[in-house]
Amino acid sequence: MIGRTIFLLVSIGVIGIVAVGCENSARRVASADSSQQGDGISVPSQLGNPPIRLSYGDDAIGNVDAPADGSPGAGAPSPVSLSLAVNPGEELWVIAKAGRRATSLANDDTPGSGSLVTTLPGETEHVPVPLEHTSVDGNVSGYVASVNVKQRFYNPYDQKIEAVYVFPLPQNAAVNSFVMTVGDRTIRGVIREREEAEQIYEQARSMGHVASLMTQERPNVFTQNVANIEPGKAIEVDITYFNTLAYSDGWFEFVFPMVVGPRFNPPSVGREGIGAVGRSGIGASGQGTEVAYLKPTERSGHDISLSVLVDPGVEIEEMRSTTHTINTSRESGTARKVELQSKATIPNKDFVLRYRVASDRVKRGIVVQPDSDGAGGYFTMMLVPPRTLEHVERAPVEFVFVLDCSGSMNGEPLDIAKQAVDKALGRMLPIDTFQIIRFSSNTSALGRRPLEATPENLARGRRYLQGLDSGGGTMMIEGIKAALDFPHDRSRQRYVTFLTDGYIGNEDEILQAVHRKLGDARVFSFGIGSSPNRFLMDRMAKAGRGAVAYVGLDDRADEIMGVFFDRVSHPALTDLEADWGALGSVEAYPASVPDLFVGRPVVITGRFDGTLSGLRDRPVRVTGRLPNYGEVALTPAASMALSSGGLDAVWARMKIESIQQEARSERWSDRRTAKAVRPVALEHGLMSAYTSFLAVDSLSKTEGGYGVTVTVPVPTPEGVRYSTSVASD
Amino acid sequence: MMRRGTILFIAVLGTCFGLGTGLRAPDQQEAFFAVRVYVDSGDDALAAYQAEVVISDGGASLVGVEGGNADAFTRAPYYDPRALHDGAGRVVIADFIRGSTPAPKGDVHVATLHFYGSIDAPMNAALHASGSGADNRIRAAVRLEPIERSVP
Repeated sequence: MIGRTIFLLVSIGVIGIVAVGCENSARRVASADSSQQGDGISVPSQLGNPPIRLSYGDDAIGNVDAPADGSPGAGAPSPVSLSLAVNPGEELWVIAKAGRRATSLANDDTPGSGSLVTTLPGETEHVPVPLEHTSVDGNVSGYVASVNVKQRFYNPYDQKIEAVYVFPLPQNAAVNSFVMTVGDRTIRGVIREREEAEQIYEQARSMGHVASLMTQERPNVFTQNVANIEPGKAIEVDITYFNTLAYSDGWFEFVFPMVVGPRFNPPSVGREGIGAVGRSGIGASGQGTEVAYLKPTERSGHDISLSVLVDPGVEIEEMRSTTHTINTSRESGTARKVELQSKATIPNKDFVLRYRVASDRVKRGIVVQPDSDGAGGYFTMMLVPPRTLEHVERAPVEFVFVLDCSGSMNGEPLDIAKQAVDKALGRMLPIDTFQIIRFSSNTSALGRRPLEATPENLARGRRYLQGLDSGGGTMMIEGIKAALDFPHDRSRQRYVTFLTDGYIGNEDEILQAVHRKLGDARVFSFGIGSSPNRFLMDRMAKAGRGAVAYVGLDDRADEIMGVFFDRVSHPALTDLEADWGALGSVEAYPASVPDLFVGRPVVITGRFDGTLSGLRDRPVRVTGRLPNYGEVALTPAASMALSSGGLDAVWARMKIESIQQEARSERWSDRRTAKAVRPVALEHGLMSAYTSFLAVDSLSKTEGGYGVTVTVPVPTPEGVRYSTSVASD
Repeated sequence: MMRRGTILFIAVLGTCFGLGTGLRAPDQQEAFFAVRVYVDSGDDALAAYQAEVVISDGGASLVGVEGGNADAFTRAPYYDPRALHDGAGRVVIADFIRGSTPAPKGDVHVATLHFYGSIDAPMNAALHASGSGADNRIRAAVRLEPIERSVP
C-alpha cells in the first residue's frame, strides 16, 4: 500500500514535496489522530491528504514542545510524516490542491431556439441562461476558510455560444486555483498577466478552442468568460480561494456573496465602473464591465447549493444564519456541517453564517504554516483588545451619520438605516454632538453644524430622519465631503458613520477621498441590505481606521447599532507595535494596523524567517497606546496551531491589498501599481487586477465561428428594487 | 548544497528530449498545441513524480495543464507558479496518486501540457524525482511527445 509519506523531490533549482497517500490511509490517520488529542484544530492539507491536526492545547506557546528544527508538530503529533531533510539554500515548494470555480454572463439576445420554456399568464417568465448551477463547498478550520466554487455552464441553444458571467466573491478571497472540465477531461488553468491572458483567450476563442478566462474587476467582482460551448454541451469551471473569517463581538462570520448589486457610476468613473442594465440593454451602460439584471417577473434556471464544514477546533456554542434556512449536523470532533436547506436556492443575497465558540482559544491562538525546511513560513493571528479597555469610559464624541438615500436604498434598506440611526441617537451622552447627512444625487444635512445631544435636538434629529426619502444617483463623494470637510471640534473625537449598500462603481475615488480627508476622524461603515458592496465597506473602514458592520434585511438594526455603541463607548487602542520575538524578521499585513476597538480584534497575517521553537523563550508581544493612559500590552498568543496550506495565499492577497491601498493614497499610476502587484500575484499563482486565470483545450477544436456571446443575467439582490436601481432597457 | 546522492539521482533520471523536428508551423504563426509527458518507471510502480519542462527562448506559453491517460494520473497535475514566471521558461509539474487506484508501471502518460506559441520552440524535459510511495524513490525517465497543433 502506498503510505502516507511525503516525498522530497530534489532538482537543480527546486525541491518539491509530493504527498503520496491514499484516501483510505488518510481517513485512518485522521481518526487515529483525533483519538489521541484533546482540543485541537484541523487544517485541511492542500495536498489532498488528511487534515493536519495540531493542538491548540491548553498551554501557552511557551509550554509547547516545538521541535528543535522548528518543524511542525508543536505540542502534538502530526499525522503526516514530513521528510524535511532539506539542504541549505535549496528551494521548496508544496504542491497546492486543485481548485474550482467559474462563472459567466448572458444577455437577452439569446441565440437559437433551444430553450424549453413555457410561460403562463401571471407566472414568472423563465429566462434560459447558460449558467445552470453553482455549488459552493467550504471548509473552515479555525478561522481560515478554503472554498471551492463549481459553476456548470450548459448551452441550451442551437448554436455555439460564449458565456460571460459577472459574479462576486469575498473581498479578501485569495483565488489560487482554477480548473476547467470539458467532458471527462480536466484542465488546470494557468495564472498569466491579464493582458496576455486576454489576448490568448481571444485567439483561442476565434480559433474554436474551448477556453475559459477569469478576470478580476474589483477585489470582490470577477468576470468569467467561457468560449465555444457547443449546443447541448456542458463545461464546468472550478475555482478555489482562501480567506480569513471576520470576527467581532464574540461571533465568527463566514460569508459567501451570491450576486453583484447594481452599481451607480458617476461621470468621473469613465468606463471603469460596473454597469447595471436590464437584459435587453446590454452595452447601454457604457461601462467596461456590466451586469445584466432580471426583471422581478423573470427567473432564470440558475440556482446554487452550498455546504460548509466548520471546525474551529473547540466546541461551537451557537451557530445561525439570518439570511438562509440551513441544516446543520455534527461531524467528527468539534466539526459541524452546514448546508442550505434548499439545494436549488436563488442566488440573490449573501449567505452569512455566524457562530460562537466555547473558548477564547481560537482567537487567542497563532496559526502557523511553516516552510517545509522549518526555517520561516507564514502565520496569522488575531490582535485581541485587552479586557481592561472595557472599563475605561470614552471622551466626548462628535457623531456624524451619513445616510445613502439613493434609488437602490429604496424601501427596506433605507428603513433599516433609519432604525439604526434612531437607535444611535438614543445611545448618545449629553456630552456628545451629532449631525445627520443624507446623499443621493445631491447632499443635505440636519443642520449647518453638529448639534448638542440635548433631548430637543435629538427629537429634531428623529423628525429629520423620518422625513428622508430615497431616489436618484449615489454621489457618495459628496457625502464624504459633507461629513469630513467641515471644521473639526477639537474637544471631541469625530466618528463618521456611513450607512449604505455601497452600490457604486467609483470605489477608488471614494477610498482616496476618505484617505485625504480623514484627519483625526474615524470612519465606520454599515453595509445595509442583502448583498452590500463588502469591498467598499471594508476598505472604507480600514482607510478610516474604524470598523465595519453589516445589517442584513433580517437583522435587527437596533441590535447591531447597539453593539456599535458598545464598541465606541470605550477608547480604542492605537499605535500598535509588535515585537515578533523568535519569528524573526516579519513582513506582516495589514501594514498599517487599525485601531483596536472593544470586541473587535484585528487579524494580522505575516511572513516570518525565524523558527517556531524559539517562541517559548521569545514570544510575540504587541503593545498599543491608550490615549491619556499610556502604553498597554496585549496578551501574547496563548497557543499555536499548524496550518498545512492556504496561509501563503492569504498573506500574498493581503500584501496585494496593501500595495493597492498605498497606490490609492499616494495616487500611483496604474502602470506603477501593476508593476508592484504582478510579481506578487504571479509568484503565488494568485488572481488580481493584473493577473488572470486562463485555460485552453488545445486538443479539441469546434467548428465555425465562436457563436454568440451570451451574458448571464442575475436577479437583483433581495430588497433592492429593479425600478430604482437598474438602468431601463 | 545538494547531497551527492541527490546529484547522482538527477544525473541518472534526468532525461532530455528535443521537440524541434517536423513541427514547424507555417510562416512561424503562433499556434495552440499540446505535448504529452511520459514517465517511464520500468518495473517499478509510479506513485508520484515531479518533472520540469523548459521552453527555450520563451517560444511558447503554457495555457493549460491536463492529466494523462493512466488511471492514476487523470486529474490535472499541479504546477509551480513561481517556476512558471521566473523568466526561464520553466514548467514544473507534479502529482501523486490518491485513493486506491493502483500505481502504474512502465511508460506512463502522466500529463498533457497545452501551449500557445511557436510550435517549433525547443523543449527539454527533466525528471526531478519519482517514487513508488513510502519514501521509496525509484529510477525513472521522462520524455515528451508532441500530439497536436492548431494554427489559425
